[in-house]
Amino acid sequence: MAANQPRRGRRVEHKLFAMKRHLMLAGIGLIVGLVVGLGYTWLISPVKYVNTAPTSLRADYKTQYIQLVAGAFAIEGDVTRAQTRLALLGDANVNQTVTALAQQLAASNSDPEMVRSLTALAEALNTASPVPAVSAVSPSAASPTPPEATLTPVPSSTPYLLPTHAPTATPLGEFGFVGKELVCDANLQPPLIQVVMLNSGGEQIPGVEVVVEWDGGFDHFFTGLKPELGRGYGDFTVTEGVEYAVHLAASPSAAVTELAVETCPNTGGTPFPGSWLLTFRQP
Amino acid sequence: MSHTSRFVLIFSVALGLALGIYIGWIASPVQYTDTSPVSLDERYKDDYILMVATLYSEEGDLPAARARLSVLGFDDPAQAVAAATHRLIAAQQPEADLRRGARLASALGVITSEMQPYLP
Repeated sequence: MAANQPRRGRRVEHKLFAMKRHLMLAGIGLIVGLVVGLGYTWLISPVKYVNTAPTSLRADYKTQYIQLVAGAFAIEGDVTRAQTRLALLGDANVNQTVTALAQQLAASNSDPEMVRSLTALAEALNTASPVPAVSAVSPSAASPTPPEATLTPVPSSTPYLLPTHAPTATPLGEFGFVGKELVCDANLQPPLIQVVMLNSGGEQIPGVEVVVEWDGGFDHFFTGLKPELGRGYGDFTVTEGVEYAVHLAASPSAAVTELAVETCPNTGGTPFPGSWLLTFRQP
Repeated sequence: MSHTSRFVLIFSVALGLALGIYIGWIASPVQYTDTSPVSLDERYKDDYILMVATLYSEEGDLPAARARLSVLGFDDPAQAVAAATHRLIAAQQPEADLRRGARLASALGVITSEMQPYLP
């Protein structure tokens, strides 16, 4: 009995050693397999997405898409259709995105027609009723056995984005200069030239291009890019000591000249530069 | 190497491989969040083409239309526009849309019998 114990002990040791070796082999094998598998699926043959929706587009393509929607809206006048198209971007704040894009293009002196289209679209979106959210198409993987993407129907008939009846835009006509008013607001700094465009009914009009000129320079802006201040509101920052002339791109005869920053009194405080509020109206 | 060791090694490599493929293709596949219009679903491409056609109908600027269509990655944009127009016709979409699609396809050099009724 005593003679068998060392042999039994060696057998147990041998089994332990074998188990450790197998565990080590299993661990190494698992890691090697994992690395090869991940390397193949992430690098050599990654999943290719097809049948994507506009929500997955890169930012610059989304910008192009929004401009297309704005351009089509300017022609069709169908805000519901534009809303449905924009809903596909999956942007909860798409109205603000459109407005911001219009402001950005206006600031960079880009295509005035596109700025007008975007401004008009932003205005229409702000006043239209929201459409139900549209779920994006789930991208389907191209390999090895791609699952079928389930599609949530767009809220119109199949599968295209149908137009709806919409009022046609009122064409811009001649504007007349109504008057100017010195705005003394100490919080309104730096001073501005503020412009408000009204139609014949007294309603504010967005998308009107305003040109500001001064000795040695000029610039322009559009009304409606700050809807929180009014649909037909636009403004331009001015500098003290410079004389400005303001006219409308569409109505050059409606011009206001010799506009310069004037000082506002401030009882008990330091005088501050005032702003000018110009009002234009269609007859 | 013993049979058991060999079996353990092969089995664990296979298991690791299967796990890697599962993770790489299903659990955590490469995410293409910044896709291009080339990968858009056909229905969204058709609507994209329709918007380009709408702008073309107003502007008449064919190079601009071509440039807008180029992001969709078609080998033959003219045929793609014609095919999209055919699908719009088959789906009985509004005539204004069909006219715009047909006009753009025609300007790009493709006129088919289906489009004929919608051309000036």
